[in-house]
Parts: sequence; C-alpha cells; structure tokens
Amino acid sequence: MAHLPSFQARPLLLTVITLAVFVSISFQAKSQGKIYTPVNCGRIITEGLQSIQQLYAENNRSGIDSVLNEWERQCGPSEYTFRMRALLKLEDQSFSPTDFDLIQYHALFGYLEDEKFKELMDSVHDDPTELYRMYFVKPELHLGFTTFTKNIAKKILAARQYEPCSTESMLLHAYSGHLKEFFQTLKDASCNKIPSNYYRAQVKSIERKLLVDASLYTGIWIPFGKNKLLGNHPLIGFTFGVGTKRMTFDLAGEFRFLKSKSVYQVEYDGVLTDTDHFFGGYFGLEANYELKRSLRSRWYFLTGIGTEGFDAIKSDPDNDKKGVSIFVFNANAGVGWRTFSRDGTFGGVELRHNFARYKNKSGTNLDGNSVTLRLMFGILKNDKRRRELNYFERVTRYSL
Amino acid sequence: MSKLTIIAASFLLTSCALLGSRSKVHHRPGELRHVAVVITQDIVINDGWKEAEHLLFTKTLAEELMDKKLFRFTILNKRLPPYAFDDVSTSQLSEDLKGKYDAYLLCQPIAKRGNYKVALRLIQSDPSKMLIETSHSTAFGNSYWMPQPMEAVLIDATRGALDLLEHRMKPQTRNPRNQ
Repeated sequence: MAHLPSFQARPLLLTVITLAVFVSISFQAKSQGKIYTPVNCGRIITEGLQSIQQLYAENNRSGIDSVLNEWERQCGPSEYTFRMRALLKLEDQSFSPTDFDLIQYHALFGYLEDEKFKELMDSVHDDPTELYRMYFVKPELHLGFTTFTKNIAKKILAARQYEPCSTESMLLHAYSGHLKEFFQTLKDASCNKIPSNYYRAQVKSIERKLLVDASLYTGIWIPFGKNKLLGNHPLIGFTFGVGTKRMTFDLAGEFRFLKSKSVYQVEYDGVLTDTDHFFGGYFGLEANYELKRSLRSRWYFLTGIGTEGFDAIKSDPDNDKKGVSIFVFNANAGVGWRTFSRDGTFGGVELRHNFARYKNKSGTNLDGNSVTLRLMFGILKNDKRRRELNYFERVTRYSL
Repeated sequence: MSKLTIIAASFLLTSCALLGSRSKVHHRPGELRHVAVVITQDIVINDGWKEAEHLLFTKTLAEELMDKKLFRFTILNKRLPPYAFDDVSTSQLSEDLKGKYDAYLLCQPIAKRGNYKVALRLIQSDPSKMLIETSHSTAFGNSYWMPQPMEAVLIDATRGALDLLEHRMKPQTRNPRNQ
C-alpha cells in the first residue's frame, strides 16, 4: 500500500499542484500568443450605446460600423446591434428582407416585450424606477437609445412609402412605436412576409405541443348478455395519455369488484367447479374525438381496444394452486362528456359499449356484451404550452 | 395490492388536484373604483433571485390584473416584509391608504421546494375589512410531470391565485384557458 502524505503535508502538496497547473496554463497561453483578459461587456455596451448616438449625429457611418463590429466581436450580437444595423440599412435603402432571419425575429420580440413592459408599468405602477433598474441593465441608457432609434424609424417612415405588408414597413412600425399597425400586419393571414411567416410558424409549433390527459374514474360495469348472471360490478380505474386540439389518446386500466350475483361453473383441474368469485379488470388503448365544444364542456366520440376478464377462482400460492382466469379481447365504443374548470381540470361521464365474448370452455355460458359507465375526474392541460401561448398573445396584443 | 389500498390511493391522488387552490369570500365586494396593490415579500439585499422574483411577480400581477379588468389598480412602490401580510390591516399603511383607494390587494409569493404558493387578500380600506382571500399552490394545483423553472412556477402560482380571485369576484368567469 502506498504511503499517503500526512494530513499536515496535504495543503502544501495542493498548493504546489495548483501552482504547477496555473504556470502550465499560463505558459501554454503565452506560447500561443493568447493571454486571457476578461471582456467587460457592460463597459462595451455602455460606451457603444453612447458613442453610436454621437457618431450618428456626426453622420459618421463608418464609425458606427466599427463600434458595432467591435461590440459583436467582443460580446456577440445583441438586440441593440440588430436594431441599429437594420435601421441603418433601411435608411441607406440597402436593406434586403432576407437580412431578417430567425435570430433577428427573436431579438425583435425581445424589444417588443421590453416596450410592452415599460408601457404597462408606466400606466399601473406608482414609481417604476426601481423595477426599471432591475429590468434594464442601465435604464437611462436603454431608454435614451430606444428614443433615439424610434426617431430614426419615424424619420424613415415619414420619408418613404412602403407596402403595409412588407418586412421594411413592419420593422419601421415596430421600431417607431407604431405597435398597433405592426401587430395588425404581423397577424394578417394574407400577409406572407418573413416576420408574419415566422410568427405563424412559431404559434403553430406551440399549438402542436401535446396536452397531458390523465384521469381517475369510478363507475359501474353492466353485463347484459348471458354474462348477466355475473351481476353489475363497481369499478375504479385510471387513464393516462396525451391530447391534441380535438383528440386524446390514452392507456386505461380498471378493476371491477364484488362477488358474482349468481353461482356459475368453471373448469378447474379438469372438474366443473361452482364459484361466485369475481375480480375483474380491463386494460386498453383508447381514443376520443371531439364532436361538439362549448366554452366549458365537450362532447366526444370514444373508442378503444384492449383486454378484459376476471378471476373466477382465486389462486392459492401457499398450496401451489393456480386459479382460473378468463380473459378476452375487448373492443369498445361510446360517447363522453367533460366539463372543464379554469385550470384545465375536468369532471366527466363516459358511456361505452364493450364487445367482449367470454369463452368458458365447458363451464357456464357467459357469452354477451356489457356497458361501462365512468365518472371521471382528471386534467387535460399543458402548463408550458399555456404559458408560451399566453406570452405570444400578450406581446402581440394591440393594446395594454 | 388490496382493494382498499387501490381505493385509498385513488382517493388521495384525486384529492391532490383539489388542494391547490383555496379561497374564502368574507364580504362580497361592492364597486371597487381604485385598488392599491401591495406586495409583501422577503427582502434580501444582493440576492439576484429575490430581485428577479420581485420583478417577475410584479410584472405577472400587472399583466393578469390588466387582462381581468376587475378594477383600476396602482401597484405601490412599497415592498413590505412577509409578516405584514397578516398585520397590514392594522398598520400605518392601512391608514395612509384610506381615502385614496377603495381597497388594497395584498400579494405574497412564497417559494417552497421547487414550488410556489401565491396568497392574495383583498381588503376594503374604509372601514377596514377583509373581502376575499385566495391562494394557489403549484405543489398541488398544477400538473408538473417534470421539474419546471422557478420563473414558470411563479407565473403559474400567480395566475392560479388571480384566476380564483376573478372567479370569486365574477362567478360567471370560469373560462378554461388551457385548452
């Protein structure tokens, strides 16, 4: 066994190792001509926001380009740099709609969210200064720069004529503070320009997110063929699956309780045996399709396939005796109704006809179908989807 | 698994979803023309999340109250400590608000092990009396199958409590927004 350094010697050992690693890294960095100095993006952004306004007033476009290039090189592109570049191109008439990519679209949404936040707080907060300090890194600079870019956008809008449904017009309306016009065009189904297309694609992708459909239920199983002699049985079960706008797909399982109404016979160890034992179950795949919807409730058609059956004679593991179970294929169909609360929880009723023909070899004939009535309590919701849709709806609303 | 266990487990699971939101109407509010919104919250200097929590909570409150149009409101630039949630009706603030506002809405977010509970109290200013209390806890009231970011949980808790306030003030609004 190797001799480990004593406890007192370990700090010294650690110090030596740390120093060795540090020297090694420094040497490697120097040999490659790279000495790491932290980038102070806060300073770069502050100076950038100030100098751009100054350079614009002096009509020094190459100076603005240098500042933006250095800013993006050191700290990466930001909403500020995207906004400034877009406005300069629009002013020079060198803007091409293809310049507006998905990253700029997201940056534009960030800008609109900031504008909405400021508009809202100005109207409902008695002194939002502290909030602005938390929300905007440097509120005075941010708000000053936004006023500056708004003026540029307004100037370009006043000087030129654009088609309302054009990327140029939409950007200028957004940046000049004409949000109502911007959002109207953005949501206009007949406008197929890049920002509108991005918007529609994004909303669609959120709407496509699946809902969680889960429920617990109780109810009753009612046989009505020759299996009627088994009697009605209370049941308890669950469903778990996913939902789309009009459909749900679930795994379902249920247990049916209480003894059989009448004694029946099953073959057990080659002998016909009387029994009144019953412990039933169902496990299946189910799908619902919405037929009618009102504000709070939905009617739907439902169908499913699976297996159902019951234990006719209990197994006895202590005496190594197997029980007797009868299981058959189940196909079912019916109708359901659910009423929803404000948070996506629901109560509902389902009535389904089960097509299942029990085969009991030489025992009592149990052929016949059955009906299941379920009283359900569950959820059909997706909190993330709701949050995202809510965010989009809120940011793109015409007014507060 | 015994039948009794199955029934008990089902009952417990079903109950959980019902425990998320609570409310009590002490007095039905009359016409509220102008309401002050007061936030009570832990104030910890130089705690980044506490700052973000305050910002997000204020923003969500403002957005939701604006949407619901329950009353005209002003969010006061006062952050009171959590104990004020129970004491404010007897405090100086309560005296200050009399005459300026018809009522005030006390709002408190409480973080608890990856979940949030948001409690609201709508109190009439003059004479001072409790109108409605609501609370929503995401621990029991939301369906999180995976852990959610704290920002999202705070938004859900705030909406849950305000939805309930809206429902208590305007019972006809039971709109399933999630569908």
